[in-house]
Amino acid sequence: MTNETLALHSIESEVPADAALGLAVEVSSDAEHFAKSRGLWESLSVIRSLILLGDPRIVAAVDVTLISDAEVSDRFLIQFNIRTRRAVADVLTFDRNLQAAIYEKIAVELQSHFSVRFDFI
Amino acid sequence: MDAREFFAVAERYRSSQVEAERRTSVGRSYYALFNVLLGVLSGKGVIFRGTPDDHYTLISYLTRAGNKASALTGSSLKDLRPERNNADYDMRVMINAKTSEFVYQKARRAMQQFESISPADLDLIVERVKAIP
Repeated sequence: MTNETLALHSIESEVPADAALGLAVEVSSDAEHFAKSRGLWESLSVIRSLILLGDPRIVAAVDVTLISDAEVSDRFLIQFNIRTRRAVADVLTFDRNLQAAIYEKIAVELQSHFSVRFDFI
Repeated sequence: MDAREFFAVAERYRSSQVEAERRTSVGRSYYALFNVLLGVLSGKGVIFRGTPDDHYTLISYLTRAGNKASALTGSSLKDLRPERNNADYDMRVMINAKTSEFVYQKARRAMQQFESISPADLDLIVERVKAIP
């Protein structure tokens, strides 16, 4: 079973991702308010599950924040910050699989509100 | 100039011992991808305003063009934008060599993904983008 398949299977079986892996995902109050006020909360939850169930060796911790753009006013993104201790090559593979899974699971007009970054610790 | 030349600068500094150079690498990786994509669509008649909002307009066009490779390229550009902003504006965070390497590799991959789109599909993408209100 590929990572992507594993993630999709787990979502469909409604396994709470963070509980299954023993990882708590902290969502900032700003990000939560932004997501809930714009109908993005369900998408946020799906992406969280895709991250946590993708490859447990990659993800050491995750938090979700609302970020603004230093040069463009009124542009906000809900950002998943994934802390990882893995090598760049492994994270690139994880990232590619995650991108493909998000493309399959999240409506295209909603995808533009989310970003994913990796914090190499 | 061909914005792809920015990749050479990004490659040179991606593993530098000097953080300022790693930050330069992150910025050049992002702008190589952004400028090439903008240039391709502009060259086919897609209108951009020449304002900072073009970054998000481009991301929106790529992701809504009904083509998976285009959408994934746009998604990469969106993920790399905050990395570039951190590199240029946030002096509190440390940009380590793994981060600058990851950003460089992700931008190169996105570039290759976009360049894999056939001319016929690219024309279709442009047609759809021009129809976006």
